Amino acid sequence: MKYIAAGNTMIDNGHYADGRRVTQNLGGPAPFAYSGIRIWDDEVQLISNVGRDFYTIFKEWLDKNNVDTSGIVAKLDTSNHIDMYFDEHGDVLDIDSGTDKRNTYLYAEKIGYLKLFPEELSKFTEGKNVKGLYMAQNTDRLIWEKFAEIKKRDGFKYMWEIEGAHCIAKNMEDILFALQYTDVFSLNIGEARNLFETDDEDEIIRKLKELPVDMILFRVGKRGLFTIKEGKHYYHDSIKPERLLDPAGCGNTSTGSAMYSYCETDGDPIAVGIMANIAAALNISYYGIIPHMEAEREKANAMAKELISKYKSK
Amino acid sequence: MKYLACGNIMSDIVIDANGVPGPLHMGGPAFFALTALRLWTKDCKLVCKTGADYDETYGSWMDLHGLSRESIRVEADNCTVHVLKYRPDGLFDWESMYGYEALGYLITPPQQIDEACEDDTKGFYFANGLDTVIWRKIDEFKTRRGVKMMWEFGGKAPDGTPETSLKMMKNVIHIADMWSINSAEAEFLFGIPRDKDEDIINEIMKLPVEMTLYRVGKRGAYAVTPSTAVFCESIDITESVDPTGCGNSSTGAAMWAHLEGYDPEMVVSIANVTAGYNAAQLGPIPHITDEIMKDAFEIASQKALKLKEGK
Repeated sequence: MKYIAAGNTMIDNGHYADGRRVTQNLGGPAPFAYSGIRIWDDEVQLISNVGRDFYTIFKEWLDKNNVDTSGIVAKLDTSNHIDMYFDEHGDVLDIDSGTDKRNTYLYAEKIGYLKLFPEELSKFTEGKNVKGLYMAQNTDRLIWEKFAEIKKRDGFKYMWEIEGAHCIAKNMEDILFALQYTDVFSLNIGEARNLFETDDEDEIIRKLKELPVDMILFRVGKRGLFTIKEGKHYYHDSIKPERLLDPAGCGNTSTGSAMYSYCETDGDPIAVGIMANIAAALNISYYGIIPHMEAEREKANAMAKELISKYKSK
Repeated sequence: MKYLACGNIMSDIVIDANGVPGPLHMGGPAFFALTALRLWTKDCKLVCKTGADYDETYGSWMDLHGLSRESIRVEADNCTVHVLKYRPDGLFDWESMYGYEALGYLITPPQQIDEACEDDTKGFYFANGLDTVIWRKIDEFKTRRGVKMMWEFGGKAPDGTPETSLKMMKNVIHIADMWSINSAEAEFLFGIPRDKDEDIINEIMKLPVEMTLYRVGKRGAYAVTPSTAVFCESIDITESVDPTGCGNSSTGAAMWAHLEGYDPEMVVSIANVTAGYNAAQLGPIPHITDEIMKDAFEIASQKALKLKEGK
């Protein structure tokens, strides 16, 4: 496969500010990123450890989209099930697994058990001519060292979406270490504030420009995102979606899309930003993951062509 | 190696009520089980995933006891550490220093135990939950390799209820050969008050395992087979300082004793002698010399003899 979306899968119960509640949506960074790539191209594989309930709950989605399941491995009975609570702006208020401390730690422990090990990923990139890979990851150096060997061997471009809890100032040295092996770095406004310990967006952008990485996808919520490359930043206003249903996974979906467009456009920061926003607008129009990704392709391509041309002619 | 101690290793730091942190102690179910096995045999090894810094804490103890590290896989930066913060009322709060997600990442999967087994491996200790995917994988390699398993019970069903937990336990227990459970867990599972030893043992005896170590806290333990139950009160080697890991260590030792062919009196005596050595200090037994191994065996033999005489 040309592209890989790897990492955690979640099954989300969405709780929205207007009282709506939707259960058992497919989510998690890897499937959302997969959808962000798949809207543009069928040559993408999902690599993830799940519970065996995954196959029954999402059978229809897997069949309808003809998803290659060879990289989706059942390691437990049940997948990671989480409750996501959103405020009236669509921002995540809380991700919950119950108030009982024991439940909270068992939930986190299970996420840890289902995390993808570098060697599990390696099987799917070795000799496979992979062009680009997305994976949300923390800052553990040993994992990065193992990953760096795989990347060096297989030569793909890597999109790192940093896991939020690890995007903090005290981890800066580890982040710089990881950025050596990263081609595009994706983070949101909250993570950037924690990393640089400032709320000043101009200062954040200045500091992001100093990071040693080819491109940055800086996501600023409903407002859209910035792409940052070679000391320049490009603002991309968010695209109005057809429906405003479920904001879960917009960051992951847009990041997956950005990885794809980065590889396909030789790192054009305008195309990357616009295509990321298109993916987010499609994602928010559905509960959970985009139900039929290929069906969105024609519309997405037309929109990308028009918006890129418009942006460049400004 | 003939005997494997498989699963988590976890260090802990105790912060007293005045906020003063103590030293880092080695621990975790698999490590305590390893120390127990090493008290009775040198033919044992640890099977775990851990952090790169484990060597600083565990390395010298492992080397002192001539233990192989061939089945220890370093998969992250840090070994799991729990911080226990005591409050003035004597109770404590606890948290994982590197987070529970990191702990989950380092849980030993069945494939790793499979790979660690050798031609001469007789048995392995593993603290495990009720997940059937994991149990199926254990069943597959156990059958293929002909090794026996000591299951230290842990975890509940996903819905947290005793009914489902009992049902799930009964669905998988035939895969294990030996079982270890404490009285709080038995009370939860069987819905029988923990002071009703006889009633709980009656339930345990119906289960398809060769031997169960039923641990009743400070009082001691029972070795239970389908036809008999032998009680042995707890054994103090010296003053009891810290009970942490006594359940894991007595379970590891009971596995060794059972697979070496000892009768239930000796199995439970060996389990309790091990717990006695484990409780004699904070953390594991610091140095298991040949003399200590000999002494331990002598104490257990005498205790077993008394149990038989008392019948």
